[in-house]
Amino acid sequence: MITIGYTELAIGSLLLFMHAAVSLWYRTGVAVSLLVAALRMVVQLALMAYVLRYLFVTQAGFWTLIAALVMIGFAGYEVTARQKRRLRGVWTYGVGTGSLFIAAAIVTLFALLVQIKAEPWYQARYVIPLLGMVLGNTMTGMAVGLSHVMDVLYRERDMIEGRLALGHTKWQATQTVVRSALQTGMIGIVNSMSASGLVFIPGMMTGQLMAGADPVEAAKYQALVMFLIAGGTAIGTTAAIFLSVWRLSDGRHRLRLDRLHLIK
Amino acid sequence: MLKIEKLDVLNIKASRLCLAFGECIALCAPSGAGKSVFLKGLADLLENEGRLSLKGQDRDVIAAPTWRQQVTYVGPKATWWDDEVKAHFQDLDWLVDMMGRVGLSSETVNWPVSRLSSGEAQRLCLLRALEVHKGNEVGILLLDEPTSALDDKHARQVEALLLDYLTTKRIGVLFVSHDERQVSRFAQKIWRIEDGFVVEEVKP
Repeated sequence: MITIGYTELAIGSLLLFMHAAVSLWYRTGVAVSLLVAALRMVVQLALMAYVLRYLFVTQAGFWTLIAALVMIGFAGYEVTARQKRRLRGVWTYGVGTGSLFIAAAIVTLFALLVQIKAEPWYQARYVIPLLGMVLGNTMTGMAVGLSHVMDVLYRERDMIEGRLALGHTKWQATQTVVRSALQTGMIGIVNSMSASGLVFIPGMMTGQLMAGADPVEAAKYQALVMFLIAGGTAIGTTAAIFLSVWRLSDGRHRLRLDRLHLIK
Repeated sequence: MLKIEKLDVLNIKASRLCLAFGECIALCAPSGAGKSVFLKGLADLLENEGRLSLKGQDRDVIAAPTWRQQVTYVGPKATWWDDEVKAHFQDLDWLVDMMGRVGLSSETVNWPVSRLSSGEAQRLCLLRALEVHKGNEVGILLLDEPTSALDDKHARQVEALLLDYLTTKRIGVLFVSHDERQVSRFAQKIWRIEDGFVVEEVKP
């Protein structure tokens, strides 16, 4: 594998500074957030690299678990941060992080135990990258699905209440909303599966190719990861949407939008 | 009958009120006094406290959807969950028959809901609620401005249809209306909301 030096890396970031200059000139306000995001990325990747180096050496299952939980926590926070309408109280983070945890745990454990079968199965070399890929994609689908379900439940409140008034259960009354939220949450992964191999080579396969792996082996790995990501997105999005509907209604089949608030 | 022993829904209170099957009561109060809130509370659509019973059966022992199939609230705005009118009904023969009685053309069944005028939509929403009551022996209708989008002729047709249900004592009606003439010709009793309390006024 060809290693890149810090100078080359710094030159790579020049493109970013060029855009920051343009953005400053036109006062688009993007400059600051662009540079902050870039800085965050560098710091986070560096931290992750050192953490991984430590985990690879020590082979400590306990610390790998802690790292995994921290990643899920941050992903849950990111999902919530993108919501305009949020549940009140602990549910704000509870629904996002909870669903993400369920999805990531099921999918990652499934891959580690059934497909990859490393010895021991909890090696950080496999756990962390897999979890990262699953989380990154599941997070996006979930954020979209959750925003959709909250917004539409709010917007269609008269329709839902109308159905409840006719004696429909809360699940019947919210059926159309749940259906469209499930579709919306899955659009991203469907698109990226359809386009991969034709329009772009996914990040993981790219990495393996550049590291010298056989293209067929790399493609197999990538297909597996895509299955996992799709599965994770499906589980996470479904869980988050049903949890939201459950929380925004009560045992007497009432719509409880008082449990929702708008972030300005 | 629907018996309100005690009810508190968002600070609109009522106690010891009865609505019998065959009885038609108007709920009168200025705008913003909580008429819709009270009706929705009776249908258990809003969080509330108190004791309600229907035919001697306590509200708490009846599942909410079952309660609402017997104590049905019809809101002032028409709402739809499908693009087609007919997707909102089960028995289309019954529907066509009933549509004739409130001045709706039978073709309307095949329309998309986007084509309906507000008056047509309002009458169809009322029929939708009546269809829920088709299998019931008795029931209560809570009508929130049921004829607000109708001209006088159609409003009277709706009243005549409801009167038919009332005289056979199959339903009791509690309705909100801002039309004083309608209240005086159609209601047997009046309930008013005064300082957050729903009280009965005996019609002179």
